[in-house]
Amino acid sequence: MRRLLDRQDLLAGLLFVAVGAASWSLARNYAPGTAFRMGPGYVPVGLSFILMALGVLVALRSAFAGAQSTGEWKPRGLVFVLASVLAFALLIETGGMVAAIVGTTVIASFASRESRPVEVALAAALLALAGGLIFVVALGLPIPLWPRFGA
Amino acid sequence: MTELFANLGLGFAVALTPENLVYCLFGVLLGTLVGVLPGIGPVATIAMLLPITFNLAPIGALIMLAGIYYGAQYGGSTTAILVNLPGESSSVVTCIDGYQMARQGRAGAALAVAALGSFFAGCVATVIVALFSPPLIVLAQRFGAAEYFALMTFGLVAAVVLAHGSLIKAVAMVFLGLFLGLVGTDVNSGAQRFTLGIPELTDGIGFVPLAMGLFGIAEIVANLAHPERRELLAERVGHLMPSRADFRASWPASLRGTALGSFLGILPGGGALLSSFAAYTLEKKIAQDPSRFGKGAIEGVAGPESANNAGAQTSFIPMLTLGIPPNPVMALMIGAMTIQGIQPGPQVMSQRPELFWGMIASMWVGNLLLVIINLPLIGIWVRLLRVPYRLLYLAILMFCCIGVYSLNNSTFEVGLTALFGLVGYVFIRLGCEPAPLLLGFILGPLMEEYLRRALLLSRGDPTVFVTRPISLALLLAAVALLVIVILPAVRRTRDSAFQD
Repeated sequence: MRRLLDRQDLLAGLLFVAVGAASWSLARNYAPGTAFRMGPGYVPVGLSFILMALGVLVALRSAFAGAQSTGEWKPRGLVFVLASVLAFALLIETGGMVAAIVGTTVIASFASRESRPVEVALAAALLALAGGLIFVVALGLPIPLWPRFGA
Repeated sequence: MTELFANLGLGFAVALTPENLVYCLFGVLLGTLVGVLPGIGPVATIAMLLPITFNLAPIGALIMLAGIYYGAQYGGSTTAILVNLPGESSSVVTCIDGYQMARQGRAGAALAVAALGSFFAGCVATVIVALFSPPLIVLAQRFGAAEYFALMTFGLVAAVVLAHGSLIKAVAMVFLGLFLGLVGTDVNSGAQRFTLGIPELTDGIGFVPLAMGLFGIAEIVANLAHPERRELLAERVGHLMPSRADFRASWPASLRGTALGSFLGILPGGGALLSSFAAYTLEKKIAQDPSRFGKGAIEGVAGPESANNAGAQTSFIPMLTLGIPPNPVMALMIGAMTIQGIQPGPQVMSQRPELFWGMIASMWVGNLLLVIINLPLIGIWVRLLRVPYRLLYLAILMFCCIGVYSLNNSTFEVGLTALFGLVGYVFIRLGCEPAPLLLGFILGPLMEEYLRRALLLSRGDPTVFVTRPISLALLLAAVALLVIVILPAVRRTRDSAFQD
């Protein structure tokens, strides 16, 4: 089963079919109108059918053309990089620029096997300094530098 | 002709003001930097800088962003030649012969030929942009809704045909992009579509989170999964001056690369990347002794490096004249114009001549700056290459996050970036190219609008697209392109061109 499913084109095709089906299930509620006076649903419904059809074609092709594996999935980099971006989103408004950059950098550093603790600490400090100076002091973006205590 | 000189005169007057010179210099320096550094390219850089351009004058902002794109073409070759890594995707083929030249102690000659070839190509491409844009604009002013729809169809077909990898997957990616472009409020009826009740989505999915996630974040994740080996080969670059024989071999190759790149850059889906691949294939085909390629043939550096710079610059033509982006970088340029309140399209030249001609003139100025500053600065770029990726990606991530957030002060968009980063990584693993998706995303809302308008004007009669001559010609060209590519013989050369 595992090897059967590990095919680039099969998975890509299924992805297109799934997105097409999901968009159709939403778009069928929008007024379609006619070709003369199109409603908001006309184009989306058409697109979702085409997307599903293309998905089926891509998936079918994987049965004939040589199947290519998606390769080895290494979740470590993905998880920590995405987590660091989300951490930035969570920290920037309450914690301010410095806390957000330090948090992002430290979490992101776990994404690489080659990170060294001292280097990461230095990088976080330098990036926080650079980010604060460039974006808040020099460019004057309306982002607080420090946490708003008691807010 | 005199009009052309008058226009170029106006352009240089704008481009040479101290303020704009500084923006140009900053743009090309930054472009060279991201070109030199592997793992970050012009798409992510321009996306990061978009929010900052909000505070600049429109012309300065556009000059700077344009400089990043063609500056990256110069920088990419440095890394390709010295480290055997493409600093920029359009320098992939430069690695083949450039690195071999460096191993033979001819790194200096390879770098000089790459820079001079790029400069020559940049000068020619600037003239081509200046010459060909006005007539195209005259043509574009006769376009109605049907013609615009046909033109965008042609553009998307060309983008699919020229994308590498599976054709049908590229088509599906275009449609996925068209669909993502529909998210938000329908302009005609005010109805909410695909917003899932999320208020932040009523204005649609932001272009910057989408581009940054697909191209920036996903790329970082992919790079981390495959740790690179960087071996800085040439401590000393050696003589910069190419020998007489090098010159004789490389100038015809530069000429051919410039011609090929200028042409391919104009095509939708074209630009720097395609041009460099095509130029390398061409040089190998016409060489008297093709076996020299891969062993340090200087034509293999001169041709592609000229072509990628020419292609980068002529890809501004469809963007400036028609408001249609032929590649993701131009899509970002359109985004930058929209942020500044300029509606891209044929009216830009007549309404904002200083912007239009100033940008064209700045390309030549930028090329001159690049060739002057780059060769002496190679030592600094080489030192920057010693910064390991484990530190570099932390900085890139930080700039991405701040860039997205500061655009609208929206944490929602930062979260969206993470989501598209995940999607982009899945695409990489499934062998799906993200560039066609981005073009579909940009063109989707426009195409729907023109389709509706064309059919409204024709009272629902779909033959309007084939009874109007320009529209018919464009649609026939699109069909012809598709047929050509499906023919087995062409298909084989297309595959081999991307494999070489």
